[in-house]
Amino acid sequence: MERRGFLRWFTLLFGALCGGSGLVSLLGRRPQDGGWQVVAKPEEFEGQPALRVRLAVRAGWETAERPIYLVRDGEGIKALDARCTHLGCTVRFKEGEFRCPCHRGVFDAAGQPVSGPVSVPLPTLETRVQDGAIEVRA
Amino acid sequence: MLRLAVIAASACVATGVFLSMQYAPTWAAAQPAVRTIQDEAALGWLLRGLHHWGGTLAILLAFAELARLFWHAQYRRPHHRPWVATVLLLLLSFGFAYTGYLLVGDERAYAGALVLEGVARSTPLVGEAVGDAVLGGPVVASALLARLYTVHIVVLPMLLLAWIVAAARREKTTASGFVAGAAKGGTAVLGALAALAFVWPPAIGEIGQPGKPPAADAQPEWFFLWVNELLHRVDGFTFLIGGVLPVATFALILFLPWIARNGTRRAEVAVAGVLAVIVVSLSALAATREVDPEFANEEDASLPIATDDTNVLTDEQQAGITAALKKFRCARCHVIDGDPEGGEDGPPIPRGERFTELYTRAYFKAKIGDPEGFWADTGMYYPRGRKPNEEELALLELYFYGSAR
Repeated sequence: MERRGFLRWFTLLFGALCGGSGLVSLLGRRPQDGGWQVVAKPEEFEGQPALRVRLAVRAGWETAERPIYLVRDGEGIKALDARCTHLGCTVRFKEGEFRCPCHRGVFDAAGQPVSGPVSVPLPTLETRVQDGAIEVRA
Repeated sequence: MLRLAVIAASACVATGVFLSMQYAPTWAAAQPAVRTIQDEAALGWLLRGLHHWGGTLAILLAFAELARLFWHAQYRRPHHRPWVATVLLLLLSFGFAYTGYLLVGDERAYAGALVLEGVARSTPLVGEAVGDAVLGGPVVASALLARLYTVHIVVLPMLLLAWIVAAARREKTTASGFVAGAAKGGTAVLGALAALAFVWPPAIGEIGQPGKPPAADAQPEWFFLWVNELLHRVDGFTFLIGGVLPVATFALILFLPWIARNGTRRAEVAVAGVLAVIVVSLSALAATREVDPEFANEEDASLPIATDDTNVLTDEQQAGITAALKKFRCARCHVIDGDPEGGEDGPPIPRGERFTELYTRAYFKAKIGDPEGFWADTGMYYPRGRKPNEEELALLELYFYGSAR
C-alpha cells in the first residue's frame, strides 16, 4: 500500500477509535449496586400507614437518592417507588393516598392508579426484614 | 432578519464564553453560580441578560423570518434553500434555549429534567436504556447537567459555526463578513438586548434538589409550554406527545418544500393555522394553570419521615462514625443504631434527624472531653480526656443530625 493511502486509513481508524470509545463510554452500562439496603427500623414503621425512606443509587460519580415509600401489604411490608409513573415527579402521601404534585395523578395506598393522568401502578421493590431492620433491594 | 438572528446568537456565544468561566454543571453549584453571576459579579446582570435575551431574540427573529418566507410562499423548490436554512437556525436556537434553561439548575430546571427523563424512559422497548443513556445514570443527577453543558457549549456552537460558514459560502463571503453584514441592524439588536437585560432580568428559581420533589408549579421555557401542557393533561402517550410530536412538527416544517405541491396553498395555510391555534391555546392554558392545594407539594404533617440520610453514608463515613462512637465510648451506656452490644444506662441513640438542633458540632466540641462536661439533669457524663478533632465532629454530626452542616 502506498504511504498516503495508509495514512488516510490510519487517520480514519484513529478517529473511529476516539469517537467510538467516547460513544461507548457515554451510552454503555455502568456498574450498579443492586444489593440490599437498610432503610428503616420496624419501630419507625409501626402504626404508620406509610413511611418515606430513601434508597441510595449510583448516578454518574454521585450517590443520589431515590425516594421510596414503605406501605402495608396485609401483614407484610411493601416498598413502592415514589416516582410517578406518568412523568417521574415524586408522589407524596396525603390523606391515605399518593398524590403527584406535578400533574395531579392519584394512587391508592397500595400504589394502584386512581385518578389523573396515571394508568400504571407505582413499581414495587423487593423488601425483607433482617436483623431487626427493614431492607429494600436497590 | 436572518442576519439579525445570527447577530443575537453571536452575542450569546460572546457572553457565553465568560459565563462558562463562572459556572459549574452540578446541581449543588449551578443555581448558586448563576445567582452569583446575576447578583454579585461586576456587570454579571448584563452578561447574563444579554445571553438570555439574545437566545430568546434569536428564536423570535428566526421564527419571524420563517413566517415571512411562508407568507411569500418562498419554501417552494427550487428556491427552498433559505427556508431550510432558517428552520435549521431555529432548531439550533431551540436546542440552545432548551439546554440553557436546564443548566440554570433551579427548581424549574429540575422539574424540566424530570420531564426529560419521563419522555426518554417512555421510549418503546428500550426506554430504560435510553433513559440511562440520556441521564448518565438511573436518576436525574449532575451527570445529566454535565451532558447538557457539553451539548450547550461545545456541540451546538460547533453546529452553529458550521451553519454560519455554510451561509457565508452561499453568499460568497467569509463567516465574519456574514455576521458583520448586518452592522446597522446589529447595533439595534444589541441595544435592545441590553435594555431587556436591564428592565427584565431573567429569573432564577430556588435551587433544584434531585431526590426531593420538584416545585409543583414549575413551567418549562415558553416555547415548550404547549408540549408540557399536553403531557400534563393526557394520560399515557408520553412518548408520542413528548418525543414524536415535537420531532414530527419540526420535520413537517423542515421538509415542507418537498411536501408542498405547486399550485394552491390552501392545505399549507390550513395546517399552519391549525398548528398555530393549537400551540397558542395550549400555551395560554399552561400560563393560567394554578396549583391545586389538594396537590400541594407536602404530605400529612402527622406522617413521619424516616431517618434522613440512613442510606447515603459511604462505607468510609460509616467506618469513621463507628470508630468515633467507639473512641468516645458512647456504647457503654447507649444502644447505638440498634447494636445489641450497647449499654442500657442511657436511651438508645438511633441515627439521624431524631434529635434537635442541639446536637451540633459546636455542642459536641464543648461537651466531649471537657472535664466539666456533665449533664446534671440526666446524670450523663461525657467521656473525659478524649478531645474530638474536626473530622470526628463532622462524623458525629452526620450521625446525630442526619447530615453534616
